[in-house]
Amino acid sequence: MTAASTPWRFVTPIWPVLAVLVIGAALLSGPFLSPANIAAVLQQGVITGIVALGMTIVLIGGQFDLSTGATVMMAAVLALLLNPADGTSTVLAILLPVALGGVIGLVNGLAVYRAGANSIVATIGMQFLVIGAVLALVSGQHVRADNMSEMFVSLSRARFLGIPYSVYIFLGLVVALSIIMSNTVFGRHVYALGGDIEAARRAGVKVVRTGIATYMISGMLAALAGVLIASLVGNLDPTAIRGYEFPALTAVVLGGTSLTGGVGRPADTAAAIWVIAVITNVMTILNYQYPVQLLVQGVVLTAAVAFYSWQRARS
Amino acid sequence: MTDGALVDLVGITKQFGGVRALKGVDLSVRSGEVVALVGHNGAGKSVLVQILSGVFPPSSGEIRVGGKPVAFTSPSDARLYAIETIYQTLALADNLDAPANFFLGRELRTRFGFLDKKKMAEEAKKALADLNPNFTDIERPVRQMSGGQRQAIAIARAIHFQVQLLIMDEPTAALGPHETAQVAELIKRLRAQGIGILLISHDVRDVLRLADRIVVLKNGEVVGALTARDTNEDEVVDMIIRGRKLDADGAVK
Repeated sequence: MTAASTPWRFVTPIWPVLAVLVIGAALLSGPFLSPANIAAVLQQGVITGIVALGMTIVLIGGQFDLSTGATVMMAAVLALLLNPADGTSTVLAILLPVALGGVIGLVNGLAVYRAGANSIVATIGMQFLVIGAVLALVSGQHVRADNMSEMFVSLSRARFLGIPYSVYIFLGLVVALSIIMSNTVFGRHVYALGGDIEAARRAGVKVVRTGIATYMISGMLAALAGVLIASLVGNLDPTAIRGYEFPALTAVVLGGTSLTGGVGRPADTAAAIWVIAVITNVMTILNYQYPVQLLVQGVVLTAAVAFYSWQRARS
Repeated sequence: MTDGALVDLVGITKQFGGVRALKGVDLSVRSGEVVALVGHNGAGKSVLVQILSGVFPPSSGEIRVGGKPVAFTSPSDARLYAIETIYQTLALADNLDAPANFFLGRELRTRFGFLDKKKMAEEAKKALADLNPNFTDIERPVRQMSGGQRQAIAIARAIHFQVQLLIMDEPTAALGPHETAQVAELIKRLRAQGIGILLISHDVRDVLRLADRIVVLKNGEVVGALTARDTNEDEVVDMIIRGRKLDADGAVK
């Protein structure tokens, strides 16, 4: 039996886990399946999910992007500082942070793929740089936008069929990135980078250009997540939205993306985001406190990593 | 330098920091000629291979293709001049399947710009079946495949795209006797088709059997060139070790 002839190869372990959890959650708690709660579950993971999608692409290429949390913060602060009150400023408040996220990705990509820096160290360095710059810019103060335009607010708050726009944005990104990764030359080359970067180079893959593009995608997606936060809250304490990179990385790993690169899929990261959202949601409904939720997430992640290692050792 | 040569290397040097890996190497390969490059580990064989494959540029010297000087900035440049390399390491991405590795760096696309996976699978399957009729289960990660199958992928993709100069770096080092014989057959077939082959090998007996000319490299220099027909194992081995040809009476020339 060839792998190609089995549709099952498209079902990675995270999907049955998600199915079991959803069924279990529905049995355990009546309110879980209410439309409002489903919408809440879907919305809960969107911000982390968008960040995680970008990190998935970078990690499939075999590298880490730990600067994403700082990029989220940068984008949220910048979007509010641009005060999206009318049409023009709204467009600017969306596009400028995303463009700057792309620039951050470009610099990460150059450091890692051109200069050969270790990606963990390089992107943590970038994280400090961006956080420092943002905090200096706002003097560590709260930022707020007056009179945010309806368009800007609607990014995160408006609903279609009871589901927030941001969820559709996330789903659209999952579909787009899935197609890019599995059906384009770029996606194929990203997998090749993560599989064996020297083999890819010798086969004529434009390694530096491809690698930089993965970081730019990650930077722009993290910035988009930041813009959505700005749209949702309207005012924020910059120091309070640090650290998105770790929950995002958790989802990436839970979804089965290999920490050494070459294996993973954007849709699997999305499934992992929903697994975490369902667990958190049910535990909230059942009145478990935050420390217990954290504990359960820790157990799930550790078990997942152990499972994937075992699975790979076997094949 | 030879008239009518496919590829000439002229005065190639390569330095890595203070180490002079190549000290001015001249080498040429004609169409339909098998040139063997032999020498100890560290003699500079694989540095030369990598220069000719575009992995890195020489420190000085010239590469000529069809008599014209060229500069390779990447392996894709060498491929543009129909120079293909089968690396000793095979240079396969283990996580990808055979068709993906086969077409890596020159993927086929549909008219919408997406990967034409179906066509790539078909063509790769055909090319691999040419080498090994039993090799049909190609759509799984190559890490799950045998050494011979992996070798077949590396060979098949090197000869599929209008190759003129084929560089084979230790093509039989990881193979059993049966597969080694297959590779020997393949070299003869390609040679008959007019393809130039640069064969890097440790196996002097293989080299004597397959090559037209034998070039011996020692400490980054060409210490001798022999015609395979007119030499023997002892002479080649001696040249690899001492870097000199022996006189009939055994004295060093």
